[in-house]
Formats: sequence, structure tokens, C-alpha cells
Amino acid sequence: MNDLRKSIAFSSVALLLICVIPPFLQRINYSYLIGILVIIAIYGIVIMGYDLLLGFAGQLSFAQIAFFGMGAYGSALMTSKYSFSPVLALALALLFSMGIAFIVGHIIMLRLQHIYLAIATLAFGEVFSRVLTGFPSFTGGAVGVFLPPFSVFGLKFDSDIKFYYLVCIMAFAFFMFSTNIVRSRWGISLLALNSDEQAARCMGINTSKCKIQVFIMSISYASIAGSLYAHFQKFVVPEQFSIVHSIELILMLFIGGTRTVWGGLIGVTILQVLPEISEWLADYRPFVSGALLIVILIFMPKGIIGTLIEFWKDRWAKSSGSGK
Amino acid sequence: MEYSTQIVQYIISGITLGSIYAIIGLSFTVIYNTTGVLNLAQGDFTVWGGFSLAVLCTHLGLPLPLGLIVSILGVFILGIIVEKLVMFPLRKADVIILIVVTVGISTSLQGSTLLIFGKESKAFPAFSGEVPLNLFGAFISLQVVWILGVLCIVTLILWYFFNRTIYGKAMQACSEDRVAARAMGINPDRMSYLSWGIGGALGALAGALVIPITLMDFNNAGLFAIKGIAAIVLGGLGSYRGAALGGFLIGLLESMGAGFISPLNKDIFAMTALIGMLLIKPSGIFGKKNE
Repeated sequence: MNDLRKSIAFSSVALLLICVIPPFLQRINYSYLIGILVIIAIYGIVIMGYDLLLGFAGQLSFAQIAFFGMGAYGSALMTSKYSFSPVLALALALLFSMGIAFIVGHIIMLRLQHIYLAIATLAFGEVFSRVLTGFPSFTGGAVGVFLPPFSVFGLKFDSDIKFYYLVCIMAFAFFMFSTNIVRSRWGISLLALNSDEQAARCMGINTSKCKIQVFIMSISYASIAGSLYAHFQKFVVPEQFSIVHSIELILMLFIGGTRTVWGGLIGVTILQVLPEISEWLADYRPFVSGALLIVILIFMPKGIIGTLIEFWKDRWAKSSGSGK
Repeated sequence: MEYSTQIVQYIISGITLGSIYAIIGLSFTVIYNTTGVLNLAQGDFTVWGGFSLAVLCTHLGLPLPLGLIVSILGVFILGIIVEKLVMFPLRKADVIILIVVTVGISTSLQGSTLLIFGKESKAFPAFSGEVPLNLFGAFISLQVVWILGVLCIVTLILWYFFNRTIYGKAMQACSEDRVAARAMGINPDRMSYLSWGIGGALGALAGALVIPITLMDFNNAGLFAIKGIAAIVLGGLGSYRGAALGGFLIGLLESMGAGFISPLNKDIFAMTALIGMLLIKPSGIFGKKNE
């Protein structure tokens, strides 16, 4: 009961904050920041899915960006070339990505581990981005594809603010879903799979099934976020989904902290806001973000949020005495 | 051009690229064997090698041999610094963390390339003139001879180092069993430094050799790294012979694919071969059985 009340309180505060931010930004003439918030929310969705796969289940995949791209290109091609409605295109792109994820999961995920899994998914991601540039007649090549604004049943999301509300509500929904699912029986079996696959199997967890499920689930986060991203940018080009961006995702996740759901959001925010602070920082961004990742991995392996949570838990345990 | 000369041309360019990939593959293997780390920042060492050679020789006017020595030695030291600052504190970390941290190293090295050398891509003249050799009607740049020659010398030196010198044997021992090596009086940590140094130097050498035949860009690092990885996986992770053979195979596959099928999709062939090899025989051509 206490948990339920807490989560209701949290949701209302979060939703209120989401609603209040844009008018406030407009008031102080920073409305361009709304666009950045949209990007943060979109990457936030991807990272939350990535956290399930990499943080909770411990499966290092570099292919996440390819499925982000699949969602984006799926939406772009279906809405612009075949004039599907954006929602239908999103759903079909999602189904397509999940199908590919199912196949890739079975032939790569189940057979390979650790370094080999990392290499195979890296190669898969690279093949995907090469296919985007390599078949211009279908994917538009380096020029990319333009697409119409997102709309649901006649409701058009054609401005930054409208899109902001759409994406934030989505991100919020994904967030609630993630926080709940990681506390479920299934979420705990992911942790078991991460720490010791043999032991997990002994406990009666079907680890193969678990791997496929978590892979497909994390891929659906990426694909939906990809569709939204394409509609927000209004065009897609292969560079948006190159291997460089899959490295960005790793940076975001590990800087914020794995296994927290929160951490990824903070990591995204740090990396997106960093270059906006000053021109000087924009030049230094790759160096600073890489160095930040190294420092965090060495000194706080749980990431920024993970370390903070631990810190507060300690304080709380101390202040509430030996009873707790 | 006749069909036969065309094939000769493709084979030559495949062997050239292949030698570069082979050297990068060897640089991966040196680090992987001694420390068990797959260093995704290896491509950045290559870019550093090429860029520093270009800057030292064209901007500072150093003679070529001196430029080569300074740039390779510089990256040798860079490798040791990376091991000292980053990998050593994390030596007991999880496999995934070890891969992720090399992603961080790669990003920050790429960022520093950007800050130090600037955004422009760099070119460098061939080591001994631009006049090509004519072999059976196909034209060979003299740089190709250089690259092949250096690959042979490097292979010989590495063979000698790992089989005939005490340090090389000690590094081999570390790759077999770190604890046993320590019991024999070998300091595995020192061997790790050495392996990162050698790995860096080999990467830099590949960069210095390749910069005269392709324009080098600061974000080429990822591509070099991926080709190197493809080479070692094809040949077998942890095997020096495998890395060299895999490099040649990837190079030939790429130039043949580009020539006969589609130049735009040349990278797809190498990547598909890589995935295929992982699915059929993850241990590669010369790989050890136990993986």
C-alpha cells in the first residue's frame, strides 16, 4: 500500500513537472531548449531499454542503434513512400524490428557470449548502417528520407511543444513500465542471469527464453523511440544511426549508471546539455565524455545515480537507527 | 583494361589493405593475449600514428625515418599511459566493464585527436615517390612494396620477440596463466604495460603506412578497429598467425567485393564474413578450442 501511494505521488509530481516546464521555458525565452528536452526524452527511452538488456541482464550488445534506426527508417519509408498513417507506420516498424530481433536473438544472442557477442552485434550494427548507405534506391542513400509530422487520429504534432508533450508522456509510460518490470519476478530473473547463468538455470529460470525476451523488449523501446525521433527530426540519414551513436548510447548509460532505470535519463541529460552550455564545451565534448566514462567506471562503478542512491540509502539507514 | 590485369589490380590492392588489417589485427592480438582485453580503442592508435607522422613530417619538417620513429614511439608511450591510468585500476573488473572502458578510451582519444590535430583530414606523400611500378600491366604504387616489406619485418620481429627473448616468453606465459607466471617470478602487470605499449606501436605503424594511400580522417578510427576485429575473429581470437591471415582475407574480400560486385557496399562483405565466422566457428581458423 505504501508503495502504491509513493508511486502515485511520484507520478503526479513527474507529470506536473512535465507540464510546467515548457511554459516556464517560454517565459524566460529559452524555448529552444524544448527541442533538446525532446531529444533527451527520446534517447531516454532507448537508454531505459538498453539498461534492461545491458544493465539488468548483462548482455553487451552494440546493435541497439541499428534497431533505433530500423524504427526510424521504417516510419520514414512507410509514411513518405507509401503514405501510411504515422501510428500504423510506427506499429509496423515496431513489429518488423521485433521480428528481426527475434531472429538475431536466436542466431547471435543464444550462441555467443561476452566478447564474441559484443563483436557480432558490433558487426550487425555496422552492416545495418552500411545497408542504409549502400542501397540508395530503397533507403534514399546518403541523402536520406523526409517525412511528415507525427499525427494521431487527425491530431497533428507539428511543433516542438506538442511533440514535447507526446514524447514526455511516452517516456513517462516507459519509465513506469521499466521501474515496475525490474521489480517483478521476471526482472529478478534477469539479475540472476547476469550474475551467474549456470546458477540461474539451476533455480529453474529458462535463461535462453529470458535472453530472447529481454532482447526483444529492449529492441521495442529502441524502435518506438526511433520512429518518434524520425518524426521529430523530419528526416532520416544513415549517419544518425552509425556505430558512433551506439558508442554514445554506451556513454550515456554508463555515465548515468546501470541497473537504476533513472541513471540512463541522467546520463542522457548530462551528455545532451554539456555541449549547450558553451561553445568551448562543444569542442571538448568527445574528450570530456570519454574521460568522464573512464573516471566513473574507475571511481564509481555504479554510475552517478547508482552511487547517489547508495549514499542516500546509507544515510537513511543510519538516521533511522538500528531498527531498520 | 583487360580482365586479367583487372584481377591482378584487385589482388594487389587487396593484399595492400590486407597487410594493414593484418598489422592492426596483430596489435589487437598482442593486447588481447596478455591482458584478455579486446581494445576497441585500437583504431585510435592507428589514427594517432598516421596523424602524428603527417604533422611531424609536413608541418615540423622532420625527415621521414625520424618522423616514423617519433610517432611510433609516441604512441608506444601513449599505450603505456592508457594502461597505467585506466586499465590497471580496472584489472579486476568484469569482462563487460573492460570492453565498455575501452569504448571510453576510444571516445576520449578521438576527442583529443580532434583537439590536437584539428578537424581536417590529412594526406601524406608516399615514402619513396609517386611513380608506380608496372607489373604485368597492372600498376603498383611503391608504397605497396613498403607496406609488404614492413609487414614481413614486423612478423619476423614479433616471432623473434615471442619465441627467443625473455620478455616475449614472459608475455606468452602471462597469456597462458597469469598466476603461474607470477609464481615463476614474472610480473604480469609489467607485461601488461609492455603489451599495451607494443599494441599501440603496432597500431601506429599501421597508421603511418596507410596514410600515404588513403586520406585519413579523425573518425576513421572506428573503421580501422572494426576491420582489425574482423581480421582477428576470422583468423581466430588470440592467434598471431590467425590475425595475419585474417587480415589478408578481409583485405582481399573487400577489394574483390568492391571490384566485382559493388564499391559502395565493400564493407558489408567483411562484416558478413565476420558474423558468418562467429556463427560457424567462433574460435576462427587457428583458434584455440577452449573458447
